[in-house]
Amino acid sequence: MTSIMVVDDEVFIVDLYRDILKLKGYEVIATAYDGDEAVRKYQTMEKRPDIIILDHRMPNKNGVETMVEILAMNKNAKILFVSADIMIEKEALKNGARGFLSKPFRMDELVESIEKLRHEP
Amino acid sequence: MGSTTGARSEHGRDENNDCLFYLDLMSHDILNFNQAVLSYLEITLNDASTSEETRHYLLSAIDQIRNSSQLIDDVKKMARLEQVNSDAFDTLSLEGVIQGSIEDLRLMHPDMHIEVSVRNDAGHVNVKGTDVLGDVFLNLLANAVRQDQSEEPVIEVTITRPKAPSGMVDVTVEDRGSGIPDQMKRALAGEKRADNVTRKHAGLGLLMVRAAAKRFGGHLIIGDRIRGDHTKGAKLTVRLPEVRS
Repeated sequence: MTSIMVVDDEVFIVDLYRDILKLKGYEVIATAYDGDEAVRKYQTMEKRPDIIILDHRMPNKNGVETMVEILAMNKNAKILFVSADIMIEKEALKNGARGFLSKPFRMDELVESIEKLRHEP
Repeated sequence: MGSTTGARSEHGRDENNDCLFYLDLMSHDILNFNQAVLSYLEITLNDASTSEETRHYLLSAIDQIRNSSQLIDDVKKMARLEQVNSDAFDTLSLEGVIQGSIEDLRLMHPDMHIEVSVRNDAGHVNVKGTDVLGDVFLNLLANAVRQDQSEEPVIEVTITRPKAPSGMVDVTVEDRGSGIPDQMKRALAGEKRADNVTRKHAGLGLLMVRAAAKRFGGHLIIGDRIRGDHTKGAKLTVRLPEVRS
């Protein structure tokens, strides 16, 4: 089963991801509510997630900063950047995001993006 | 007198920045709320026990959520353009900006083969602008992809100097889409703010391009790829002042 880490500062959005991903047969193995927490958790995880779903606008560390630190730990980390701020798309992709979804996305789009990343080397 | 005017202007700028801040905050949060509403509507829609009648209502609600989200995105882009101050303009290599926009277009459509040819008859040209200029060309290119119904869209970009007026440079993007009818061309060419009908049918994309071109000292020229037959595709030209070194 594909394992996923969800990082978003909105509790209701994290809950939403849990609901959608469970329904679609994925396993959420970790959550974080800001960039700092995400980096700390990723650093100490025994089993790292196959894919990280990452928001941008968060306290302490934003999504791009968080992504850069995670990629420094693991350059092969597969990060799907998801944001309500479409202006960040270019910066996210240039800094190593494997995909970008703007909110609000359709469930099919999320599943397609996850499946695409899952099959990437 | 001057200082009063200056203070008033400063005050206006502060108020404008406050408005943009609240607009940004509001739109970001509404898009998050829309995400939750959209997804739970979709979950209910996909539930096998949902009746056909309920599915119909859910689909209507989903349409409206998507419309509201699109409206927010468009208004944010327009507000960002209004914010651009000419004092902050950089000197930019025109071809460099265009190549950046083409790369961004390919990032947006990683699975699509898009044939983009660039012909530069003007040589190295600098213009004044900001990163929004890249969005202007990206908007034109993305519009060309949207309009082209084929699986492998073909876009031609040319950089030329017009015969008149001097000191200007034209960036023309030609597509093979359904084109822009004459009535819409006239509405888009108007100097005043677009009315609701134009906005509704042209989308905010071209209005954004028009506003940005104007902000950078130029304008947008709308034509047909094949003169006199708009159905064969559009020819959109952004005319900008050249920076002479």
